[in-house]
Amino acid sequence: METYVMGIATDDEVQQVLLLKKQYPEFEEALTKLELDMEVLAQNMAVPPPPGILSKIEKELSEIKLREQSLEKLDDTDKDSEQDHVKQDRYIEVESESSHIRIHKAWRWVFAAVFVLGKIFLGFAIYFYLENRQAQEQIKELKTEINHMKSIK
Amino acid sequence: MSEVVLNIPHGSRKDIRLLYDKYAGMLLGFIRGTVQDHKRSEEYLVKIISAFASETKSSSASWLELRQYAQRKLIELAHINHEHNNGKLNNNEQANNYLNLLDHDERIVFQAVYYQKKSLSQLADLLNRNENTLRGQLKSSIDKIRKARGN
Repeated sequence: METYVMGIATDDEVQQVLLLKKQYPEFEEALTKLELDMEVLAQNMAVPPPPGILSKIEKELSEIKLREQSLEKLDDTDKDSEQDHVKQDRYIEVESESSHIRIHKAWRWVFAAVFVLGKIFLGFAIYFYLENRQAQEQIKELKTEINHMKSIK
Repeated sequence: MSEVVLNIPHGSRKDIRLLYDKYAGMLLGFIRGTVQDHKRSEEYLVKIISAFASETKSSSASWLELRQYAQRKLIELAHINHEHNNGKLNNNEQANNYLNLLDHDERIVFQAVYYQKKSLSQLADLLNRNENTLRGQLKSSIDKIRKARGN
């Protein structure tokens, strides 16, 4: 009990004290009494702290908390960059060698319109070509007629 | 000082205040038993209470827990500040009603264990004495102190 309360008990002694404390209420009571006596001894040797110590303690504690918070932030940043590395490891950049392309479905109406317009223009082109050929033939016939009439006169 | 500047929640400040009111004087007395320099002992008081409050649930702490924490912390701080006593025992002549009840040998053993956390085997080596004799002296010194209290 004495070495335990004085804080110099070996691991075996500590285990023994904890076991006895659990098993025997009288032992626990004696230990509590001894602890109380040591507390009274400390009270007897107490030295009143000078003014300003409490605010110094609060300031020191605040600094400890700030240090802990900045360490936590650093840990979070490390975790994020670690996750980025994991993502990079999971997805491998590959250059595609396929001859096909994928386009949006809206483009099919554009292609249909271009196709229909193409057909219309082709129809017009054939019509005007035939018209033109017919007109040329008529001009040729008229010229032949004129020449023929001139020779009769 | 405002809480924003201090970065301590209101509940924690209350716990620290309680811990301070209950144990600061006792702890300073304990530290003075190890560190003779008054200014340094006050610095250590600030450091120990702050570290204890940040690491434990200070509101439910007992004196035994705080003293044992302080013992460990004082050894650490002495190591950081290169205050090695090369295993020597501190000669603390702090006047105290209870300590004055002890004879010379008992006082040496009690102070070495109480303030410097010297184990009985370490003390046996240092003083070149039998460990069981020292154990008996420690026990008798504690008994004398307790008797003076009426226990």
